[in-house]
Amino acid sequence: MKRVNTMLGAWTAAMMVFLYLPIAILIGFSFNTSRLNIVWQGFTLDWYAAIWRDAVLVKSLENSLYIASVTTVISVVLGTAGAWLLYRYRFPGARLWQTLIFVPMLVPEVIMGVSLLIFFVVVHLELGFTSIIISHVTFCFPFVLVAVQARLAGLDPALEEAAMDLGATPAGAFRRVLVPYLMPSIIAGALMAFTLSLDELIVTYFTASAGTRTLPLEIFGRVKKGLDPTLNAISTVFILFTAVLVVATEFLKRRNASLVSRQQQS
Amino acid sequence: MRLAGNRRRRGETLLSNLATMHKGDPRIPVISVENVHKRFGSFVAVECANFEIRRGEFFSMLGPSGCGKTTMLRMIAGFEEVSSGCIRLDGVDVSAVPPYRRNVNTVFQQYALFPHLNVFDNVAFGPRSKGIAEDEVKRRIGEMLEVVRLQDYSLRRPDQLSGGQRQRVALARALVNFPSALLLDEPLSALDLKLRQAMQLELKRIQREIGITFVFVTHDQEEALTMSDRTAVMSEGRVEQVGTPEEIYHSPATVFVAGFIGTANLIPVSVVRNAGALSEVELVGGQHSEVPTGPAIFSPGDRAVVMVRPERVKLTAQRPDNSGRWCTVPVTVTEIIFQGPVLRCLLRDTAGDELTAHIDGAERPHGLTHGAQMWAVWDPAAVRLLPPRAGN
Repeated sequence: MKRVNTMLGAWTAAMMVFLYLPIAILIGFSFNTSRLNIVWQGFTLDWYAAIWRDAVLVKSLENSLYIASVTTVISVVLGTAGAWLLYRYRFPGARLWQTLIFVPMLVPEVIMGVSLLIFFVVVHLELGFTSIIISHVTFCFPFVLVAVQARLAGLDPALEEAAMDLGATPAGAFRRVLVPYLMPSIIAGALMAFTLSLDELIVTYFTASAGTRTLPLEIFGRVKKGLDPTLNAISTVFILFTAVLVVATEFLKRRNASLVSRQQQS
Repeated sequence: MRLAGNRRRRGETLLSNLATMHKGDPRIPVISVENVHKRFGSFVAVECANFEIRRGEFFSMLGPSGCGKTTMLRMIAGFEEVSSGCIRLDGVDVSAVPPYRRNVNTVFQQYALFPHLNVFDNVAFGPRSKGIAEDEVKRRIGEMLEVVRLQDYSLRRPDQLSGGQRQRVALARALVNFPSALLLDEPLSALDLKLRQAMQLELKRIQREIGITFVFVTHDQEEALTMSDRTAVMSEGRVEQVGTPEEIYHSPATVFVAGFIGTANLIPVSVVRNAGALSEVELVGGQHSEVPTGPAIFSPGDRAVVMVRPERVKLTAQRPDNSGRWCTVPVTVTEIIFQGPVLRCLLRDTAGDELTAHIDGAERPHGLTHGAQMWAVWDPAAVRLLPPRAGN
């Protein structure tokens, strides 16, 4: 028994090292005085300061945050409205739509990127912020939709009737009762959409123009030319930021689930 | 004591508010249902319903599940549209008016309290929808929470309340809007028996205190009899009878009503002669008896059903000599069940039909034993002559 436990422990440790060692090295060397990522020379925060002096890098970060924010807003509106539509109305092809919505979540990103690029060429849309945002929304809003749908499954249909019974118009009932009820799932979906958009490389690679390079694109481009500790520093910032978002999403999801189960118990 | 006085004073403000807020013409029924039909595809949920609900009464709609009572209530609330016919609220046809513009409020079966709002904000939802000033909202809710005895719970969330407390929040949330009528959809079915009985009396007290018309849907006949001023008994989409609990118990209009409310002996007979107020019928065992003619008109030779309540049936060892006046049926005693105040005797007549008699336990008749051959005897005046159930 004890032997099994020890072996399991060792296996887990090995897996964790395998997963996190590259990230740990990256973070470690972002504090290295040497320009080279091979030898440790001493501790410094210079590379973090260097980020802000690198106008191109800062610009790409701004682009990324801008794209992720707009993508999130559109995804939340589309995802919530879509989930509500599929919940509330029975229409022909509803189940087909339900399935089609999952497709962008599953299609390989390269194929998504190529097909979006062809699409933009066909409709004569110049590549830029608009094309990137449209591309990001296509695979981000299904995540919001799925999160909201999960919450809607536990909704007491009488709540909407109760609101209307008490004088709220259908729009008022949606705003005053349904949106607050759905809020935890909307926030969870929004965080997911934001993280996905911020990290996206491949789809963006196909749909960005020279003037709208995002941070992942910029890092990818520079790494090909050689390693630069500034990239370690900005990557560390990026990792921490993403990690915070992921943890927040998980926390909200869990609270969401416990809320639903508590209501079902009562 | 001071608290009680304070409460009464505030209760009176609320009452006077209601009187001024809601000056309906007492001659116009609060709700009238006129030739209402409701179909879901080919399924007929409500068929030609016609009845009126009077101002200030406790009205219940009673029937087994699937009889259309909840659909009827939802049509009054505005959640379902009538397929044909019309529903009037305070004399005005509201058939095409959406629920948020009808002056009725609903207490839902599972209460449907808003989980993200505390008690105060739940109750304030209606007044705020109507754009009532916030200090007026505050005052009204303070009073309403006192009426339902929840003044100390205004900051609790619904999931921090017991079933009975949630029930009272739902009640306050509906009543605070001063509706023309309060609609209650089996609101007590989620509570355990003891709490349910307490809430029955509580609801009755609140209804009497504030004088608003209550329309109460239930499948529990005892609950309907306990609480209602008048009851509509429904079956398979039809309103079988509307009347006070006593009328429904003593003078049921149909075999269904007789069987659904309390216990009834339903004895098939054939009509021999129709003599206006009295009809001559032939009972099992060949005895002819004159019984009061009910609402239905029979011709000689028609089949009919005689309804008599078990407590009106007596048992005797010998056939009474005045057998011309009393109804008498020879029976075999198949079971004697002691139930405290009464002995419940199960009987079988010579045609094989089951009868029940409730005999006063203190006056056990001579010779009442298991398997005894006896006479079931009752006063013809206690009988209700009904048409047989459709299809029989």
